[in-house]
Amino acid sequence: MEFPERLRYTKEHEWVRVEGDEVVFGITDFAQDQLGDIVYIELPEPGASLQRMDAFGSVEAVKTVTDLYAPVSCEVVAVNEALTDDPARVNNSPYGDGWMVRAKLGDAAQLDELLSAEAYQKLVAELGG
Amino acid sequence: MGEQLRKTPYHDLHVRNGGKMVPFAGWSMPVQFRNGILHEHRKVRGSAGVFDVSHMGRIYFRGPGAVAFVNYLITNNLERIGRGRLLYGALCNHDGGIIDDVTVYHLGDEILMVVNAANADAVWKWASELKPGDVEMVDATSDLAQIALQGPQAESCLAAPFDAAVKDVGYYGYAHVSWEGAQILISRNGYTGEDGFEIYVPTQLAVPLWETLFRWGSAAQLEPVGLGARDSLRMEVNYALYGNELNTDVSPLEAGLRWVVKLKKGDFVGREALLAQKKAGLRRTLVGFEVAGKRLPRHGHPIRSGAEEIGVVTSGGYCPSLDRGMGMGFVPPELAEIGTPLAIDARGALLEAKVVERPFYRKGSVKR
Repeated sequence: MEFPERLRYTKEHEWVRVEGDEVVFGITDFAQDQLGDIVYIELPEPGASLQRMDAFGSVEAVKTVTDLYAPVSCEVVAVNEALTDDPARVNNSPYGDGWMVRAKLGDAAQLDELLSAEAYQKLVAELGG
Repeated sequence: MGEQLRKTPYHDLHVRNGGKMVPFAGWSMPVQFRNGILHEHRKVRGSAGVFDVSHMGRIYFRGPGAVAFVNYLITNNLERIGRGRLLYGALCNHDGGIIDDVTVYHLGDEILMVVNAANADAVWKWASELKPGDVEMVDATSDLAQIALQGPQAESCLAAPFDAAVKDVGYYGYAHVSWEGAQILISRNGYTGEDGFEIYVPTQLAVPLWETLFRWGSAAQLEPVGLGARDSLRMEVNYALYGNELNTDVSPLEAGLRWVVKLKKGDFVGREALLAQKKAGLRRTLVGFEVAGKRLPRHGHPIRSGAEEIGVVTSGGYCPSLDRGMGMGFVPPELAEIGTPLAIDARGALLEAKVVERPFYRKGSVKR
């Protein structure tokens, strides 16, 4: 299971990559592994304004469904349209082709509350991952 | 938590094969292997896959009264078949509620009943209470392992070792074959809508048989299949699942199992209640539905007609062979017509649905 060093993480099993004043986020390798085969991903419209922890979409896997929560407050710039036809990208490449949302960061201070790769890996280990 | 999960003889093999083990009815079972549920589902529809179903309960009924007693326990008619055949039926309580759905093997002077893992204790207790003195019950769950080999290429996997012995077995028939000095029972039935077999092997030969089966089936590139695909495969062909479609508050008449209820066969447990229910008319009936869009209906979601909540989704999810969300649930009989519009309340989002013909998937290789 992968935990890229350059990313930050949430307890809700999302990753965040900071690019200047924008963030890109998706779900972690652990999350996709727990969900299993993903068949549909519902994402917000560009322009949507999200508060941290807002439910902004959902992931339908064969066995279960889960909500997605905004890791930080932000305004959606783009979503990964390719996931509409090929949601399995999240299973195959959760940190790459399986990215979900690109957004303009609201409050940069919230980034400090995110977990490091090491801290997230520890959390996952405690969950038996 | 903290409960000791039972393990089938294949447990360690599953772990080595990358099985994702989960608790299921008191057992540690693989929900999927490395390639995932969709892959395993398609594997079974496309060639063949192998399921460990050793968690199911296996009970022998022996003694002079065994056949008559089991026939009294189940809704289907055991006298209709003889040695060499098996049948599916419901085991009801006196109110006509379903205690379990079972597969019953007529072995001549004895009967083998295969029950759901979650209901094994309940069936044992129920049958023990009703059992006459000339019937003996033996729990063979630990003595036998049970494998399901399912898919259009299933037969070819058994052709080399057993050839005609298996080829001549018809749907819901079985044969005994010898392997490594032991007797193995092979029946042609399953839970996927594909041709296939269930194999019962003494526990000490369970792992060698599994490994040998994969060699026999090398042309079909057999793969192990977990409970996840077992569920999606059975849902596509609308086989009922205990705990979803079936429970003690549901009668087999309501649950689409009319075909295994033989009210004219003579007395059996629940017959009076089922006769009364048939006479009074059913309160509800099981339907299949499809949903528009990509959101999926799930077990437990309310079913609505207009503003009114009229039922609950018993099974729902993605049907890989049809690439859409479908499900089953109980509705009042007047809303069971094909084409009836319904809505599924998926956690607040209303999914447009309509009643469709069952089974959903009709291209399976099962030879009835």
